[in-house]
Amino acid sequence: MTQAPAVDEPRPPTQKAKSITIALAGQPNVGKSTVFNILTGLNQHVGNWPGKTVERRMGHLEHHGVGIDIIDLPGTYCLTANSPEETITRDFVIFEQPDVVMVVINASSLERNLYLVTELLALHRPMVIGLNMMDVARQEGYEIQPEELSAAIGAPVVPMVASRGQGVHELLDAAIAVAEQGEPQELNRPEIRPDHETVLVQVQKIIARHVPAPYPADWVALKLLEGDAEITDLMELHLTPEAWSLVQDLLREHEDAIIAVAGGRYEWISRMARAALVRPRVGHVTLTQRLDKAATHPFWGLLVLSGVLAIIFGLTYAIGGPLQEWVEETGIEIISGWVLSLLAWAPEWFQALIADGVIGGVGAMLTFLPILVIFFACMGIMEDVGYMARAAYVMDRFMHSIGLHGKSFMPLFLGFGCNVPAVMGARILETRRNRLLTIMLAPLVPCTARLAVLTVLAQIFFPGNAILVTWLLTGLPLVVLALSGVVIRLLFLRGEQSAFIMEMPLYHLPNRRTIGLTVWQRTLSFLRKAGTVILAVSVVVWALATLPHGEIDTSYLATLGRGLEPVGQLMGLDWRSMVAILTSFIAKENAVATLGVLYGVGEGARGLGDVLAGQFTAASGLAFLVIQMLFIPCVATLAVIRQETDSWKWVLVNILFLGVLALGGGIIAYQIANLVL
Amino acid sequence: MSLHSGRMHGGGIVKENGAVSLADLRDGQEGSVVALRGGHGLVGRMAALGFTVGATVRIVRNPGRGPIIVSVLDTQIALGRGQADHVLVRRP
Repeated sequence: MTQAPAVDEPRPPTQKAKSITIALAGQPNVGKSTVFNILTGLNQHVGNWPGKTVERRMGHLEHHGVGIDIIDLPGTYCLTANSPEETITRDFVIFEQPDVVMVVINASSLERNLYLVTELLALHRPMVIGLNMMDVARQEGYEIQPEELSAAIGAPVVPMVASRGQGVHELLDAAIAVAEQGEPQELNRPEIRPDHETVLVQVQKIIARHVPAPYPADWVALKLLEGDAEITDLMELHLTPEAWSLVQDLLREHEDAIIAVAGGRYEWISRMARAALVRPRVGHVTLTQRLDKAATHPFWGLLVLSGVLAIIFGLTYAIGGPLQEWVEETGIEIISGWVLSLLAWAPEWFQALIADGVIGGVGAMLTFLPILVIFFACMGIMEDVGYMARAAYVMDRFMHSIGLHGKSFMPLFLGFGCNVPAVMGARILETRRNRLLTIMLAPLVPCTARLAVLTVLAQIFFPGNAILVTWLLTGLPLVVLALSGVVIRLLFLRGEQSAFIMEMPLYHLPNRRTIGLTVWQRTLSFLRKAGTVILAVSVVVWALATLPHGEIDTSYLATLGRGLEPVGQLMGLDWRSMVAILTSFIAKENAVATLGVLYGVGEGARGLGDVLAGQFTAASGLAFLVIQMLFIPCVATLAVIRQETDSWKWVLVNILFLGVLALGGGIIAYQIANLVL
Repeated sequence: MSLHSGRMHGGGIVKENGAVSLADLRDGQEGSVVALRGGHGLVGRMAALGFTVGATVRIVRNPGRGPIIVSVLDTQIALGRGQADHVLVRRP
């Protein structure tokens, strides 16, 4: 770029008592969410960017009579068009023209973080910089002078420790001051490295009058040199064929211009750093280095990971288990008793609808809420502390062999508790391909509900070998998961290697507020979106199981089950088992209860075990369990798959994939077992 | 495509003028980046993380297989071996 320092295009002066739009930008791991949460509190709206599956968070606040809208842009390292997050960030700044761009940078890796600042400077919006994590920087031995940095760049720089709330409001004040001042900022912008200055000027000249508004022309020229696909297409459309071929010739001749552009940015960065940064003495061993000696070691790292996982499981059983039991046994009873007493006037069918259909569905949702909250919290803590990246690093070797990314490990692991956080956890993955693959495979991780069904029924079907069967059948879906990963990689993703590039953030103490808000928002968004779907489906299934005569034996569901009997016969299962499999769609643990009802448990003195043991052979019992372990996930999981992929197509793909897999697996298990046993 | 500080040069992960792939350095070794290979997408992403011609890198962990950890611009970055092979470095 040629103008440094340059003057911004004049902007219509902001009138008083108007609202100000602030775009909050920053690289990942800079504490941007903490800043956003402190500024907006619970007054924020979480949704998706239109047409994208990237989370969009907006918040509103009033400050000294000024209405302020803050848009939390996705965390990005740069502003290429290589990921939806990067496109969203730059498009927002270009098209929405926010009054101020508020960039949060991490003081402990100042130079790397300034890279995004250089990219944002090129978009010609007023800017303020939040120099966050000053405490971590100090702890790592860096000394930074914010005033020097501010003087060098030409934009306010506010030192902050956002995790302790320090500096955040000063940053807001600075942003408001910049938005309200009539004078444009005089910002010092980077220039391209001298060896490519001529070609930049040449490109600028050719495109000058053809760049569509509101794109800044000098930025477009830079992006052309960087080989930006989106901008290249844009300019091909807006230039005459002759002009375009001139540009193309220049670009082809200077294919390596991207290095010069990046080099120019780093030259600017080192000028800034020279003014403001004092590095630690050589040989200074930091806390992160000490912890990573174990945490990223090929052997000890796995041991540390096992320890962390053990703690998560321990917590789940120690806190989640009892809570879940209480909700199941006492909580639901209290609610339904209370609701029914209110509904004493209503007809019997309506009471049944509410008690069995609605409360049944809500109950299923509430029972796994404790586990959900614990897992969301564990995810949040590990991410905030910085451990998530270490877990991804040590597991990448293994995950890579089944076509997944190291970062997929944690979400998939959470699936052992409940598939819902596994699917939602896939958000931490960068590319849509990785997210989709992880989401599609997540239901193959056996959740606690499935394991409970397995444990109960294995004891009934295989009294002598229950433990062996339980182990084998727990392993089965995991083996299928790995094989599916390999097959999908070989069939559909041939040669498409997923790049593993990941920052290992410095460890730091978790921030309660950030984690609390994350847990709160995820739980709320789950309840809101999945809740309605679960409720609707559970009422529908209740109706199918009740209508037309009020008996499940003669219900539409039973008719459906009888219709499926031909398939069932291939694995020795009658219609009752097929119905049990269908009702497990609401919640996996329903399978046992349905079997109990349909086989008339409780009508004699015989318990579930005696009744079922008489109805199933070893082979058909095995087939039933195989289906249970591989079948379509519960409705809650499907609802979040819909939410996270933003498409019904992938829900359908998942149903077909797992439905075929489960039935096929059941048939094979039955036929082989009949031959062997 | 391959990008170099000055001129283009042939493909493959060939060592040139004593330059080696980043994945060839061992724990604790330092090097200076002499070239980045790969498409604009990868080069742009790597540049944003500090891998640019002339940058000093230090290997934090290279277990011989699987991803490595590199320290560049005061940050530690985990890189798959495939990506590390796209960074050519020269030992000081």
